[in-house]
Amino acid sequence: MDEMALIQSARHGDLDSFNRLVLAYQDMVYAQAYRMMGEDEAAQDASQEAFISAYRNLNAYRGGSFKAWLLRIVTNACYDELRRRKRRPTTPLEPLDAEDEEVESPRWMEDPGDTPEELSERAALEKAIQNCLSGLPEDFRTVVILVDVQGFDYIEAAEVVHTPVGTVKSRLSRARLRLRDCLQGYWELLPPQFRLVEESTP
Amino acid sequence: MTTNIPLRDLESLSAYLDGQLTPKERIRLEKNLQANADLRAILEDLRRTRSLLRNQPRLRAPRNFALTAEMVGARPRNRATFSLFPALRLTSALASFVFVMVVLGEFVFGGKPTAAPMIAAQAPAPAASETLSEPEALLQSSSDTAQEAAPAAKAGSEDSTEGQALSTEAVALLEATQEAPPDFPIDVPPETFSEAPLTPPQEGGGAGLGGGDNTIEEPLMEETVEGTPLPEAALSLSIVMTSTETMVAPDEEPLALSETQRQAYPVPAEQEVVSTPSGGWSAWRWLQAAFAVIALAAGLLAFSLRRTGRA
Repeated sequence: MDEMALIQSARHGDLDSFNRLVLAYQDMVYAQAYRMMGEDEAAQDASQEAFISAYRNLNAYRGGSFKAWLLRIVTNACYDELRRRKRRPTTPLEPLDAEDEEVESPRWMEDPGDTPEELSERAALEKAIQNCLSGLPEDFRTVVILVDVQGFDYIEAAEVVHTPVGTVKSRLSRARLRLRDCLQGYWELLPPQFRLVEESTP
Repeated sequence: MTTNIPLRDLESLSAYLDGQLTPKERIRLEKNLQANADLRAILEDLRRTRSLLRNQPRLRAPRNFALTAEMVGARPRNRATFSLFPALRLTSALASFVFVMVVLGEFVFGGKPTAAPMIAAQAPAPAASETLSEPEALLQSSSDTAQEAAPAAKAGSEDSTEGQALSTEAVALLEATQEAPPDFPIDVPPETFSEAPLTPPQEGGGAGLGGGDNTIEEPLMEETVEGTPLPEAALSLSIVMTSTETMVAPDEEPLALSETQRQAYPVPAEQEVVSTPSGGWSAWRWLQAAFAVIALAAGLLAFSLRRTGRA
């Protein structure tokens, strides 16, 4: 059954059809939420809320890219949560490892084939990238996640954020420049092939 | 390093990496890249940054986000009830409109609430209670009242020995009342009393009252004084106190006492009257109340439905 048929069926109350769409898109939705929020729990909540909201508002879907429509919903859910946190700042409860260090990368992200050193480097790099992403303004963050992490093209990204393509182009450019500046501080964590030119040259 | 590079070129670098520049923009930027080593270095940084992001491991959902019926269970019900929202809103608006029209109609057509003449309503509740416990305060009647109430009172008095015992006391009190005006707020002039003798009781006329003796908790007086001579006039007196509920809770049911008294003791129209919810409201008032209640209820229901739908 194709995507549009599943959507039509879900509109008539067929939850199984909608859940097939959920299974198809849940990784992408969760990844967007995780990169936006930087936390596993918050990302799960935003993802679940987005799917419930999507099911309840299926009649508002007017065609076009269903993937973009879903990502817009989860992005808006993340915006709402981030704004709520700004109004009521809280201290995040990160899990601690054996050395009482905060574990920010969930266990499911680990690749069991990596050596401990590689795992440590990967975790540090993950943390560095996520820190830099979290430091971006929300609008820039959304676009750079959509294009560079999720692999969307400019037109799809513009459909998600509901802005002209030129705006996406501008936001992406500024986001990349800021990320470049931010990652300069983590250059020792970067694999040799990714080390930036300015730091790699003495 | 980027201070000497035009912002336009910096922003173009990102689009250049993604192949999003127009041919004209691309040619211009490539020309600048050849001339500016810093611009080339930044382009290389951006390329690596983009590559770093694109090489991030694909995140997978840590759990299944499939929806359950419980998660969306309220949806069909909400949809059904929410469809009532426009109808309720229309009902509220129409009822409000009709309510206004009824209010205007009352003014235009002169509809006034029919005030039921009644006595004792202006007396405070404690006074009414006191009235019940002091029979002399009620020993005032008109001749019509006596004729109407006599059969019932007679039937009651036949079964009530207590009433018989009280009758002489009541007459004595009545005589005292003639000398000293009672505290009862409604003052019926003596000349309104009838001199006609009391008509004999009819069969079954006091059916509703005869059994009262067995159920009354407080002392119940049903007595008839036939042809009791009074100094000024031969007054036929009938005292009917039948409202058991009134005696039990006189403060809560002053209207029941008033109703009984109104039946037994009609008061001339010039006496002060008070409207009662039961019999004093005109059709206009009932219409106003009905439409106001409908408008309020429908409006509140529509409001709550809307809030539920938003939630």
